[in-house]
Amino acid sequence: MLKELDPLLHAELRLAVMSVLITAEEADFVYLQEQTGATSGNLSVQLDKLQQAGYIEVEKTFRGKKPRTVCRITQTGTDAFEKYVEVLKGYLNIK
Amino acid sequence: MNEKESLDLITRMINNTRKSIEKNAALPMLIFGYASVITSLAVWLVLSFTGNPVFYILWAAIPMLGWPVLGLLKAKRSREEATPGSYIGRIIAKMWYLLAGVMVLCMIVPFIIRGFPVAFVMTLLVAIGVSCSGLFVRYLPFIVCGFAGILLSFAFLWIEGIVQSSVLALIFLIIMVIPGHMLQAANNKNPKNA
Repeated sequence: MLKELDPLLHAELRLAVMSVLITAEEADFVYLQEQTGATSGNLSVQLDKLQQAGYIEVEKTFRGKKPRTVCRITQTGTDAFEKYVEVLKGYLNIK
Repeated sequence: MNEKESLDLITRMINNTRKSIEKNAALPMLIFGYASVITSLAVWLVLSFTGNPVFYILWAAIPMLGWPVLGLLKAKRSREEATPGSYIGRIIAKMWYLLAGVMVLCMIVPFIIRGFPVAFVMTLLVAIGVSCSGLFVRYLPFIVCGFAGILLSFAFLWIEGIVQSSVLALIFLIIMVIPGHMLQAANNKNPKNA
C-alpha cells in the first residue's frame, strides 16, 4: 500500500520553495518570489507554515539599509523532502 | 496537483536554481582570466624590452587586480538581483582561496630556489581549479578546457625564458577566458538565468 504524501509539502508553492532550498544553501525572499511567481502575501504565509513545521529557518537581516529575509532548509526539512520524493516515486512507479 | 505535476515542479525548480548558481561561475573566470592574460602579456613585453627580472613582480597584479574587481562586481550584482547562496558555490570559492594561497607561495619560491618551474606549477594549479569548478557545477567546457590546460602546462618543462609569459597568456585565454565567455553566452541566451 502506498504511503500518504506529506500534506505540508504536497502544495504547489510550499513544494516549489522546498525544491529551491534543497538545491541552494540559502535563498532570500526576493529570489523565492522570482522563482515561484507567488505574491508576497501568499509566500509569507507559506514560509510561516514551513517554518512552524521546522522544515525551514528564516533569518531577517539587512543588506545595506534594505531589510532582507533569508531562508534555509533544516535537517528536518531535508528528511521530509527526501521522504516525500521517495513516496512520490512509489506513486509514479519510478525506482 | 497530481503526483506527476509535483515531480515536474521539483525538477523545474531544481534546474532553475542550479542554473542560477552556475551563472555565478562565469564572472570570476572572466575577471581572473582577463587579469591573467593582460598581466602575462605585460610581463612578456616589459621583460622583452628591459630584460630586468625584477619585473617578474608584475605577476602580483593578477590577485591585486582580480580580487577588488570581482568584489566590486559581485557587490553590484547582489544589489541588483537576488541570487541564491549555495554549498557548491562556497566549496568552489574555498578551493580557489586555497589555490590562490599556493600560487602566491609559488611566486615567492623562485626568488629562493633557482630553476623552480613556476610557470608549470602555476598553470597546473589554475587548470586543476578550472577543471574542478567544471566538475562541481557540471559544466563541460570548464572540464574540457581545464584538462587541456593540465596537459598544456607540461609544455613549460621544455619552454624556457621570456617567451613563457606569452605562452601563459595564450593558455589563460584557452582555459579561463574562452569557457568563461561560453558560460556567459549560455546564460544570456536564457534571460531568466542571465
